[in-house]
Amino acid sequence: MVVQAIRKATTGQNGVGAFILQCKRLDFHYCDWAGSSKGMNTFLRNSLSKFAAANPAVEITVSPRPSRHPIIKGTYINGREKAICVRNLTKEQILQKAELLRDANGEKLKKVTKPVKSINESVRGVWSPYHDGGIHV
Amino acid sequence: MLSRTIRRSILDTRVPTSALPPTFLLPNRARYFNSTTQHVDTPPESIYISQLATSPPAEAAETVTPVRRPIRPKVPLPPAPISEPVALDASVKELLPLLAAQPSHYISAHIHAKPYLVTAGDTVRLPFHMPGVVPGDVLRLNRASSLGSRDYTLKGTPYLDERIFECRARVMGTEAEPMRTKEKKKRRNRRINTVKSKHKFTILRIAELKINSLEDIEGSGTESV
Amino acid sequence: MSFFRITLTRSGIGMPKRTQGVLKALGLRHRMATVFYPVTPEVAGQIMRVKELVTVQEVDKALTKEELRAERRPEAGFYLETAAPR
Repeated sequence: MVVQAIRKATTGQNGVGAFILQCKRLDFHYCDWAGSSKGMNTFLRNSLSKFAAANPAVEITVSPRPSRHPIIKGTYINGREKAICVRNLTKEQILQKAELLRDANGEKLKKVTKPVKSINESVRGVWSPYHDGGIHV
Repeated sequence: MLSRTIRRSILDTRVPTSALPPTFLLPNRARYFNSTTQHVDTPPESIYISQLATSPPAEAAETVTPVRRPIRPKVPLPPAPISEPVALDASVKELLPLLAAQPSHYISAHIHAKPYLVTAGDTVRLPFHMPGVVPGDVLRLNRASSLGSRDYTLKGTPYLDERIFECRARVMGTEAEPMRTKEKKKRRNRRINTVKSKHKFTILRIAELKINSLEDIEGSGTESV
Repeated sequence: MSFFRITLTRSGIGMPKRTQGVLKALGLRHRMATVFYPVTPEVAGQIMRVKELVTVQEVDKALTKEELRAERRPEAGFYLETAAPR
């Protein structure tokens, strides 16, 4: 006998009932020595605590990455990662990049032409010529 | 060299006053519509903006320096409740319960006069980056030109009364498109100018689409009178 | 005091010089441009000259440029109901 999984009646969609921020984690990497990390170090000292307090849903880690440019790496609930190199950026610019990573959904950037995406079945169904009275010639 | 490092470290450690927003941005009115400034004193639960809008910020009036232009909130505030009762046609009164009883519904919601034909659970990528919202915000969509189910459609002239339905959308985040490059070339000139653009778009998810019952619709009009 | 609200709906291109001059005097440079003038016989005569090109309404108040813009702006169609903690 074949083991069958229980069929789901509905598909869970983030945001319909509960909402989970799609950015799980943000890693901030810095270098103590390099000049390109200057803005990053200022950001970590002054703004990061505020940013972390304002976004309790995001896990924030800070780790050194010596002799490399500073980066911010975001991990998303779809399993993907996004990394942004923030070398030579100022504190304010880094905050913008961190917000960008927080608001992103982790998907690869795609050109979208149709605004509405739906997994629901068509509400009004497919039109059929054999129903609804037909056309009297 | 050493003095420079010392000076830099001093500059880094002190809390720069310039990093704090100016005082006129601090009152609570500004707080909820500012995405870039983070405030540590976050409210424990999400805030209902309608309560916010009804209580005028007293301290905001004191601290606000004379402004030349009235500050327009980035996101529209909830409109005042409509006092006059809903004028529903007899046929609408008869058929609206039948429409509501059918299993699934669609709505053609208008955002900045652009229609989006959606059902509950759909994702809408707005063609613009909505200012002043953060992921998790709930928007109420209150302009719709049609509302329907499999067999019935209610059409607005041009819009439906906003008390007939409740449509809520959740802000999911911001997405961008791949970088676009366009080469600008003029004739008889070898110069090529390359322009780049990368737009941001706000993503919404239709969290709820509900058709109010006739009692609710008529009760809302009379109670607020 | 009432005003004429004059909107140029047909272009003046190809019209005689005098007609185009009237449009210029009214300050109607392009189609769908709207101007307000107090109701006087002089303005009424100007409107008569270009009556085939414009639509005229009599209104109580002259709108400013900003008010005209606000009139054209569509409704947002949404408002913030519940704000996420930020």
